[in-house]
Amino acid sequence: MSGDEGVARLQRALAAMGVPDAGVEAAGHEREIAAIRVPAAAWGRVMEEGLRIAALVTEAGFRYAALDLRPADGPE
Amino acid sequence: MTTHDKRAHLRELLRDCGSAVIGYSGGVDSVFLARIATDVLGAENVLAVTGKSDSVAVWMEDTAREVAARFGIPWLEVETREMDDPRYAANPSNRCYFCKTELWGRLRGVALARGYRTVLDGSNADDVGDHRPGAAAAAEHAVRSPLLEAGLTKAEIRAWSRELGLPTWDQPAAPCLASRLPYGLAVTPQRLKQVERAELALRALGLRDFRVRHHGEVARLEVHPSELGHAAALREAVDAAVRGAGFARVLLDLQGYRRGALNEVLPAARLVRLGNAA
Repeated sequence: MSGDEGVARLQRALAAMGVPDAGVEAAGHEREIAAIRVPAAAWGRVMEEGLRIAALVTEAGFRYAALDLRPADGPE
Repeated sequence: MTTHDKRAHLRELLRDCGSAVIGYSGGVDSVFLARIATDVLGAENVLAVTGKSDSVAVWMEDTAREVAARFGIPWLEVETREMDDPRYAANPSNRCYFCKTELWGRLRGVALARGYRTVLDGSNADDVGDHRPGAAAAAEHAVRSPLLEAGLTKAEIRAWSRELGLPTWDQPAAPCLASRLPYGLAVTPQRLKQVERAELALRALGLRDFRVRHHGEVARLEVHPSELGHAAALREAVDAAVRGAGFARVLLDLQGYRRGALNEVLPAARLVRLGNAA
């Protein structure tokens, strides 16, 4: 699975979990991390589903699933 | 073997050593070993030695020094120069072998120069099966592991440490700072210092059991599942603390802290497990 396919698949999976506005991109020096950025209101939902998301991330070809500490609707 | 039997066996093993230099990092196991060895052999026959380098956090060095002073454990600090070895700095999956070769070489030299009969480390029974390339270096330098030989587990060591009043009894595991860098990402003093600064800042926020994993410009935080809620509640402060150490982006790992996470990428054939390292 290409990185783009993996990202698209993860975004679909997150939307199905009730997080429709998630941004996903490959990060890290080997692009081995699926970096997920969500609006502040969705933070709790992502944390609750953390282990399930981590399993999906592995299937999508990444090693790690991680949440950006800066919300998508906050300051850069 | 019961815990009582293991304790008796450990004392017997140490008595047989006669005198010892102990690799003493300031962690749970080495502090405990040094304390018991001093009790069994007498302070005149024990020297706890801490290797000082960029890969050792300053707070660990401080713990080592303070505990030694408080409990009457003879202590020495020696500089180790693993960073000068390009095989170490390249950060291969057997990086620990090169670091421990340097450390045990220095400690063996101290033992020979000062007339100590043995060199000991704090490996314990729970370490068997872990990826431990440094164990091969220990075997090459005839380093003995009395806690492992006595069959003592981490839980038993913590319980006994608590009875002895050692402040390290509940200290989280604290391997060297280089363990925060994924294999293949070069170990540099600057990167180690970034990790140390970030972890120090997070500890000041009240987090206890976590790792700052260095992925270049990105820091990936692994926080123990029991502390994930605390980290989430403090996310703005956590973000600022880690960025303050020089990272451009801070990510919170959704699986949380797990021991040896960076070894998960290694195929079984490249793992060097304690117990078959020699």
